[in-house]
Amino acid sequence: MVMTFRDLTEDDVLRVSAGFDEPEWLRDRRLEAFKAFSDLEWPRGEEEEWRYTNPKRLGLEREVLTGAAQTPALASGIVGTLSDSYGMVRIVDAGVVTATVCAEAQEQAVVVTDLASAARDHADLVRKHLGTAVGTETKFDALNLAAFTNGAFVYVPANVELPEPIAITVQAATDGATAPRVLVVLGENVRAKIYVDHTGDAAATVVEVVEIVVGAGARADVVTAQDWGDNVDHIGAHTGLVGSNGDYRHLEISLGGKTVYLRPDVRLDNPGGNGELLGVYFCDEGQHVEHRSLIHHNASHTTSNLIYKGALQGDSRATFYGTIRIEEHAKATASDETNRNLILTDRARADSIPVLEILNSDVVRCGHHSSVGQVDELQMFYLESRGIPREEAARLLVFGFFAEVTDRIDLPGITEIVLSEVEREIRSGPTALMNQRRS
Amino acid sequence: MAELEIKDLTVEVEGKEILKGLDLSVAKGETHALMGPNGSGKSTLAYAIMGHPAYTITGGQVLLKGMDVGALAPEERARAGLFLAMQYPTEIPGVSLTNFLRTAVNAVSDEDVPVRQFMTRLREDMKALEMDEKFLQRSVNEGFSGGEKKRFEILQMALLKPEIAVLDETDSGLDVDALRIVSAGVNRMRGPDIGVLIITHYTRILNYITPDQVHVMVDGRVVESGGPELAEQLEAKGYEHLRAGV
Repeated sequence: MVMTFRDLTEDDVLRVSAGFDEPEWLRDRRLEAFKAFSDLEWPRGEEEEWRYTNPKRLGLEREVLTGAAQTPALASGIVGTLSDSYGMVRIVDAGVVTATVCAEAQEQAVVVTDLASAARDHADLVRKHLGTAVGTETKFDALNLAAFTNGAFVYVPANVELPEPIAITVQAATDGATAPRVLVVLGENVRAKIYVDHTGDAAATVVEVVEIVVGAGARADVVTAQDWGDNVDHIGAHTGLVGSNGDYRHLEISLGGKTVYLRPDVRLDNPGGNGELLGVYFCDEGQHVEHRSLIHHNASHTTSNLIYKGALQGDSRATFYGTIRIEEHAKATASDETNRNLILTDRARADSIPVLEILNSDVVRCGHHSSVGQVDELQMFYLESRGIPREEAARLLVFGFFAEVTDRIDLPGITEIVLSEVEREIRSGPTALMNQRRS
Repeated sequence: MAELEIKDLTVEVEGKEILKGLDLSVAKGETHALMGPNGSGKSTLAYAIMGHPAYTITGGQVLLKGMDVGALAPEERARAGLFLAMQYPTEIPGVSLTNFLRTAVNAVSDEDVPVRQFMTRLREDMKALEMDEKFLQRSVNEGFSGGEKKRFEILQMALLKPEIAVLDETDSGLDVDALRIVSAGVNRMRGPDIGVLIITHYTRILNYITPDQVHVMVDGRVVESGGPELAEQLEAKGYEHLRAGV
């Protein structure tokens, strides 16, 4: 019988586990997660979490893939442009096709491997951290933990500073459904850059979890980028769990896909932790993209800052739903959240919903800013009056719009990639903005 | 043939007629001043010449080198040789001054000016306007003082080398030093290849830039034209006596 996420059974979970020759503890962990999965309902669209993205769009009836496609990994996306990766895992469909780590990193006991091997070879680490940042709270989180179809594991021991990024690529090459899982564990005082890239043109459903455990005093720069083809549905939880005085900086780049529902969260569970969440999205015809972020201040003196900016054209829809939750015991926190949307065509639509849940009065700062607007015609006139053609003027203004985010990205090459992708998006779609003179 | 010829121009803003049959000609090599009280339609004329979308030409013509530019987009007018130094330049956050200027220069030159050549020209022109190079790091007009905005308008004029430049209230909001620098910038550009139309409420700027002709505008029309002495009369008597004559 064909295995699907929609009708996932315990036997399916056991079969996936057996396929990886997993240790007993991991099989039991999967079964526990399957129990949680069974106890949760599939979203119908009436739930607050699914008010803006219709769960029917998610393609959960696609056949679950096991094993890698025979397709070579693509050298595209943000990772494709990295000259020499320090460590790399390439996931194609449900298989890991390569996992490499340079000799220098090996000497420092850095681990970069597939999750199945890690469960055997680094059992203590995986056992301790798997599911700590993203557990089984939601149907999709539980689904991933019960049935993850492979994944990547990265471990950087305490006090190691990585000179180069570690890259993980997730590629959808074959029509079907997969559940990749990425677990990154950074020890105390580590400095690391982690890039997770998503590409592929298959008709695919990807239920993904990326969990980043940031040790005390560590600094993580994490980029998750998706430039899927037009037939990919992507449900992803991208979560940082931050130790004392740890610093988690995440950039979400969302460009492709058909239905994309991402949860870029940061859990500030320990005193002094900082989370910076940046996001750039560009949506065009047929796309539906939702970012649903939770910044959880769950300890004192934690700080956070979020800036998400998106441009929309065609008939695309984008939702930003950002919650800052400050627990009663989390004293002296500071947080700020900004979401801005630029609508380039009449048919596109964006919703921006900031939510503040503040459970104590000892807050240093907590603010939110949100907007949905069109290109400013006065700015257009100013640029055009200098001889700049309308299309070029629009491009400058869109770049200018994104500058608030891209100026903050301190990762070599990433800003350039973001801007060139945005440029390609602008040029790809005929937009009303550029063809039609508004009065 | 006059470089810029405006014939019986009527212009509406939000359904209200502001220009009511305006005639004006500026030839290459000449500098004209257009003066008038507040509300006479001076800025409306400036915007209408440049093609601001909120200003609708309902009658008459704006001819540039004999070509009616009334139906052209602003960028086409700019490429045809028109330039407007605006009274209230627009702030454009996130768009760097260098990027903006280079894009504009390439657009009006119809070719990619080599970066090195562009930067050399830019530095020279900035130096002449006593603008610090730190400006280049900033976004277009963002956080500029009034004087900085006006200097930046004139810098653009220097780089884009128009055949007809309209300066809309370039003197407003400038202190004496800034007015001297900006005026010197305009004077440097004057010559046989450019016609300049200075729109101003006050005669102050005309002490620095001597016009060949002065026109007075009241209630959407030019009511009087003459030599530089006309500006002096206005300075002495104000606009009231002209209004009475309309």
